Amino acid sequence: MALFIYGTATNTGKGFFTAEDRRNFHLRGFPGDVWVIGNNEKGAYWLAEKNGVEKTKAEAQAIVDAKVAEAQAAWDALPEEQKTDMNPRPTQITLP
Amino acid sequence: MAGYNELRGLRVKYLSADPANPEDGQVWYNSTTGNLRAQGIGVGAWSSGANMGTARYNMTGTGTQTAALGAGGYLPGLSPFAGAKNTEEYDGSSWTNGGNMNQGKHEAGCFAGSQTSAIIASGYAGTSNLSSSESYNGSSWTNTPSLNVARRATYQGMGSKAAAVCIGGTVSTAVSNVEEWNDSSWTSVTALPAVRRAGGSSGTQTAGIIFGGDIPPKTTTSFEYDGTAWTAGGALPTALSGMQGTNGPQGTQTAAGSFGGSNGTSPVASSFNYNGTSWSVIQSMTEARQVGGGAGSTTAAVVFGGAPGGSPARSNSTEEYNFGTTTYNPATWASGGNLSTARLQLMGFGIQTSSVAAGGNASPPDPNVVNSVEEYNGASWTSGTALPSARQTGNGFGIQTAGALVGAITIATTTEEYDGSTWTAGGTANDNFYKPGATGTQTAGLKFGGATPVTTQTEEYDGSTWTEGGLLNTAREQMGSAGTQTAGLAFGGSPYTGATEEYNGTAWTSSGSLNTSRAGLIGSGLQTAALAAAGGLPGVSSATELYDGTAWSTSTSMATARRLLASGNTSPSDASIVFGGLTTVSSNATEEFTGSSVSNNPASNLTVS
Repeated sequence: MALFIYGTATNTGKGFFTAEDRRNFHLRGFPGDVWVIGNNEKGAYWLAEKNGVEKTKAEAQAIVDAKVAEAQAAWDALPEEQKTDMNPRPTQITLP
Repeated sequence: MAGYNELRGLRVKYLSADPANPEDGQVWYNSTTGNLRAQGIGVGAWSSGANMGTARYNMTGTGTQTAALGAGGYLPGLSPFAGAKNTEEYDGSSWTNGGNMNQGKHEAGCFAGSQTSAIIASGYAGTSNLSSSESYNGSSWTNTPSLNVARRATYQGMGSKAAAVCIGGTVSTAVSNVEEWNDSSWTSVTALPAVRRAGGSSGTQTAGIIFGGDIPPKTTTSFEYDGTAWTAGGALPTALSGMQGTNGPQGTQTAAGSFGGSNGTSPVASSFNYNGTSWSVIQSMTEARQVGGGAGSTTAAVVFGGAPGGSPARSNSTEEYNFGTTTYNPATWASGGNLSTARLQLMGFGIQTSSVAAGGNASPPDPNVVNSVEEYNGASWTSGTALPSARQTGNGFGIQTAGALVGAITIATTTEEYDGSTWTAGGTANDNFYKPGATGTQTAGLKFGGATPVTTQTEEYDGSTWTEGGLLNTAREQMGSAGTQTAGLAFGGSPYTGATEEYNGTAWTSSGSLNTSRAGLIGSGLQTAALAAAGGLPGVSSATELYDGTAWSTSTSMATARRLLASGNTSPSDASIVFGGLTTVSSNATEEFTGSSVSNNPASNLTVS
């Protein structure tokens, strides 16, 4: 059985994920409203309850890649004085 | 399995009330509440908070989890790379706009105090470092005397509006300069032992700590301040800068938090707490971020905004961390409302809060088959529409307003559908076997096995027609059933067996067996999370087992042992219901199952005697 479920869901704020959710299953958010969710019953219910859309890992990675590329393009367009080590260029993210 | 006594050399104390001063890791049983309780170690967790009104990074925060203040930062559309003036206030539930600062800024961070009494100094306004300083009274900002050294990228401030410290930062490179605020002016004081910017900070003007940050490179080191001198503190596990922390009145030198930050390559979600000596790993945030705002304490913190590393490059999300006492609530069976008519070999479907009991035998050993139907609302049973004729030993599937019965003795191929008020004839099954397993919905049902003789036959129902499915590996009747038409589960049954099989819509495959072989049991839940309860060994059983998709484990037993009962078999495994059955006589008892859970309560909520 796969370790993770991949999906997209919009973070609606308070109550979107609870401390109990965090104890019940792995949950990690990524650009593009992509969420990596522990593959158990409660994780699956969580994505469904949040009106999430399940994705394959490849689909989820493609969404993240597109968002990172978008951010990198925006960073590349910044004036040079803003490209400081405190404002580094967004880096590639590989989903677990 | 080894018990707590074997593992720890101690017995769990049996107490009538929670102890007054539990130590971290202490475990006890509260006989009054029936809970196994533990004083938390590593039981903190992050949850989502309300989203900020404006996504931003290079911002600063202070205050508490329920009274936080976020200020400034970098917003899109500001030019040239100017910082924001606007502030936002958090009450633990929502963000509202606060007063606008006089000077827009980002990369500030000499930010100290509370939501209603704060001071901010330093920062960057797009063209130059700032020495300006402003104070906040909960509604408006007032200019105050400036720092002696203009700087940016500090993120290192602590104390209160009346007694703050501004530490390090960038002039052209990172600096070690430190200034103290006495509510009227900034004064240069003892410098840091080493330059740094963008670290974390916590505490007061006379008992504070800064940790991590950028020299560059990024560092793990920390320095503690006593109002006069800086001394080395415990090193962070990882070199980081731009962390969110326990800024505000609750963060201290001996209880500081470091949440997220950047490792030099990308933002991270990892988080740590400091106890005055060393840092320990706590649960990671859900989202990696750096240079956002942080506030609160090591037991009740909040992090907001920041740069998550991808697009959008600025975040408006909030996460709250809470640490406290863990309560393990074991699985329980509780009594529900009694059936009006005690009966066995009845049929059931639905869920814990809306189920249906139909037919059955009211007075064994004499046959007294009934056609009465009862509906449950989570508290009590009321009469429903009677069946067209009396029947028993079939099985049900679906929900209270869209259910079905099939497999009753002498009319085993008959299907009857219920919409919550009326019974209508459904499709006729192909196989004439009674006492089958059944699961699924009214329009996607599944029945399998049955008698006589015991069979492996399976049929699938689409709401009108039954078609043959894959054969069970073990012929049986009176089995437990759970799941769906395409992910079904069969377990136990007669001849007495504990065999479990999983159906994938085409074929059955064997899985882990019940620990207690039995027939006349019930089931509910999913193929990956099922409940089995009661049944005959022969005799009657109260045994309960839970299935995780691979194996069965023993759970809390029912109050009343019985067999030939029914269940709301569409219920999830952790919220099931059983009713009726045979003890030594027909039973009218209902029991409701609640699965085990773990709850985390703020330590301050611990009730002591």
